[in-house]
Amino acid sequence: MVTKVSDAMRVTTALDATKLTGNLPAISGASLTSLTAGNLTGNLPAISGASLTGLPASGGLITLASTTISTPVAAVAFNSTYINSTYDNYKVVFHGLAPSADNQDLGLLMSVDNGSSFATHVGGHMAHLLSGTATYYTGSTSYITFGVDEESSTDGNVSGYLDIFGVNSTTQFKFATGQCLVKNQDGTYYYYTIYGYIGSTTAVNYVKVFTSVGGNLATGTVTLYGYAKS
Amino acid sequence: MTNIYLNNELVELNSVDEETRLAEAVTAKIAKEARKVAAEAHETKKASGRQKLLDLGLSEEEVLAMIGA
Repeated sequence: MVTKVSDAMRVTTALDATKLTGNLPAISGASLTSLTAGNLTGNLPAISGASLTGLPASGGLITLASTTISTPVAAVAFNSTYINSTYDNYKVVFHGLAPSADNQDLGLLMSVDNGSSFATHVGGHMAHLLSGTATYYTGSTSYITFGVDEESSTDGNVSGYLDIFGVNSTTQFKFATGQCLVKNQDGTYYYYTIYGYIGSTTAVNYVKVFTSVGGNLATGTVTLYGYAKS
Repeated sequence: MTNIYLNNELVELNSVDEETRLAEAVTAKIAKEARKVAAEAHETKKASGRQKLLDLGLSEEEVLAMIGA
């Protein structure tokens, strides 16, 4: 049995694989230098996630919850189970949203009392007609719009995102900005820059995606993400 | 019966929440109509102003460069 090999020694003959049992001693990563890339073949052994400690914080988006609409509903909402002090900034991604009827105005509302009521919003949007030059500006909506006059269709719908900032602040109002692409009920498509705020210094702990004029959402997926703080 | 998804669970709105929702929808429809009327008035004024610029002798390209569509 080889008990010790000095730095000056080299093992020059082929080792018998059947004799290679037991564990190698721990090797410092700092000692692994000058490895020949061509000799690094095969697969790494499985590593338990619990062993991956001491990695630098990566930040980024954390998926919190996702709802795919399978039956018509008035809203898709997330409450303080997901919107709380864990994250300060959130992203709502909506894909393929379609109302049950034409001429609906989809959007988002924030609540500071877990959905019992909704704060006073000031919302607006800038719209640009695709395949055209028309632009429109709308301000002072009572919710954050995801465009207007949406069509009930299954091939276009409403897709986009909204970022909500500083939901836990007790000194600042809550701002939200985003963008989306929308199929209008007349068959045209509009790109929207969407924005709004609530004049509240109470923490937001509930949001809902809905159609403001009272219809239902028939299809689509709404996903809530948190921005990691680090 | 009106349902919503809350945290990915289908739940039914209680009667109070449903009444609130319907009342807010009525208000939203009124506001939507007012925005449409204002937008139409804006477009009418835009077209009128555009025509006046053309009547002053500006070319279509010049008007387009000034005010867009």
